[in-house]
Amino acid sequence: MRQRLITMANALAVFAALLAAWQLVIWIFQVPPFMLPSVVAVARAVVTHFSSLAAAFAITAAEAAGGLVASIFFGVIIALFFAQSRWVRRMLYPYTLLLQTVPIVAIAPLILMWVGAGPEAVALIAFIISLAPIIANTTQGLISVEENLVHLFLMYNASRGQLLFKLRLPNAVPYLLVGVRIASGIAVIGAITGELYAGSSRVGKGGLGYSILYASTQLQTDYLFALVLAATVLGFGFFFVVKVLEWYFLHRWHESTRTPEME
Amino acid sequence: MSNAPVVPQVELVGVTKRYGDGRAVVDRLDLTVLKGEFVSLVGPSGCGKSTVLKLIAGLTAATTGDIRVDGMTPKNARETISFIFQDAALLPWRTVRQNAGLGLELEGTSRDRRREKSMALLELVSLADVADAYPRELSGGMKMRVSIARALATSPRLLLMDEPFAALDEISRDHLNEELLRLRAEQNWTAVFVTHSVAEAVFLSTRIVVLAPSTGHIRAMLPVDLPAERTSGLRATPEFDSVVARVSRALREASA
Repeated sequence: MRQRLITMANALAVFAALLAAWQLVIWIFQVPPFMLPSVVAVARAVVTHFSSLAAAFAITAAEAAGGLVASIFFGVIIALFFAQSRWVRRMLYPYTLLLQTVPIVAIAPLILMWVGAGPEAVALIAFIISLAPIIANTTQGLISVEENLVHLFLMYNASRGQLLFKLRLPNAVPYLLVGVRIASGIAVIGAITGELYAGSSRVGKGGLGYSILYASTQLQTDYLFALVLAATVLGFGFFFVVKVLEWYFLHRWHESTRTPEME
Repeated sequence: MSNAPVVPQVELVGVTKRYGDGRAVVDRLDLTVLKGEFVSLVGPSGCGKSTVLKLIAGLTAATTGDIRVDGMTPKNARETISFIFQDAALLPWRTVRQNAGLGLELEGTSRDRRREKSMALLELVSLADVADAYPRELSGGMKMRVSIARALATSPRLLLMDEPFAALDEISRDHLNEELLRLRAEQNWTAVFVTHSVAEAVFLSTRIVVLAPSTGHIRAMLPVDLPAERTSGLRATPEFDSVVARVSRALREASA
């Protein structure tokens, strides 16, 4: 506990030093506010624009969460299918690589054309780019089961379903959670990038990405910084939720959650 | 045990197992294990001991030859067999009790019956007080006892054990050897046991089979004529030592 407090204090000290350096740069080089607003100006922007900031935050959070939940759902189903045979994996795995390598900026206009601008299009983009790590990690977890455990199940004449749901799937949970952790970051980035292309065009109805675009064209640099800050908080929020999920599923049995006191 | 009927529990006739590259890991093996026997297979590493167990369990198919367990093919006889693996093979996401009841669960036993039976078995291996713990909280010896409880929960007629105590320290190993004999006296299953340790084989077995390196040939068949009732004191007797010496000599000759 004490160790943790010290770590947190260190992180906060770094943060304070960065803010101080930022403010110093503005004072020393006389940077104009539309290029780099002061710390105080950003803080003021957070307060004055709080309601629109919160609205944009909520929209992007919902889009990213929707995309992430969909990629977990479909990713696990696809992984269950992949785990059935090496033949299926060899045939279809290259296409999941395609998911990972296709540049999102290149397909965003297509999605815009197919489903129209709006939160659904953005969630779809978040879904597409966060799917690959879920599939890859879950498949890995489903197939990397110790041979002895498979033999054990065979000795009890276990059915294919029992092997899948009582052995392979529980074995894959820690792997899946690592996939979700990676995917959650990508989903947030995907939602914000997606909004630059496919966010709602109605002012005040767009998420963080759309608002960032709008603020930059209006030279509202202090609000732009406030939006970037909100995007960072959103990313942290997703990370935190995933960490809680990891704890919930693994703390009783998994080696990664073993505390030193238990040794 | 001495006047048990002479009925074969396991029969291997001319069994050969070749790998894909044609190398025989078990070569024309003939072995019969009678009901009530405790047979240990000893031999140098890579002599095919573990493969023999997997063949009996039907986890790998013989290239040629015939294997019968209780008069059935190994796969059909699986309901009568329990297999104990070297590393305990517990499911880390299940509690001790859920692990002990795994076999019953996969065989479709009702929840209540399962709970009752697995608790009784945990009682028998003195683990009832950690029934709700997870495997990561247990020592190596305790994990192995859970594994034994799980194996016995399905009331097997044949127990196959693949170096179950190899990873344990000597004290736990001796302790578990004694526990195994106590359980056997109560439940009367037949056992085929693979081990590196001559002393362990002598302490547990009614018969020891010495295998030759890299061919799975039987080099020696040694009955262990020690009393059926065995306690830890047996290890300190000259009779025990002389059997150990005899088996060790056979093993040395086999490896030469």
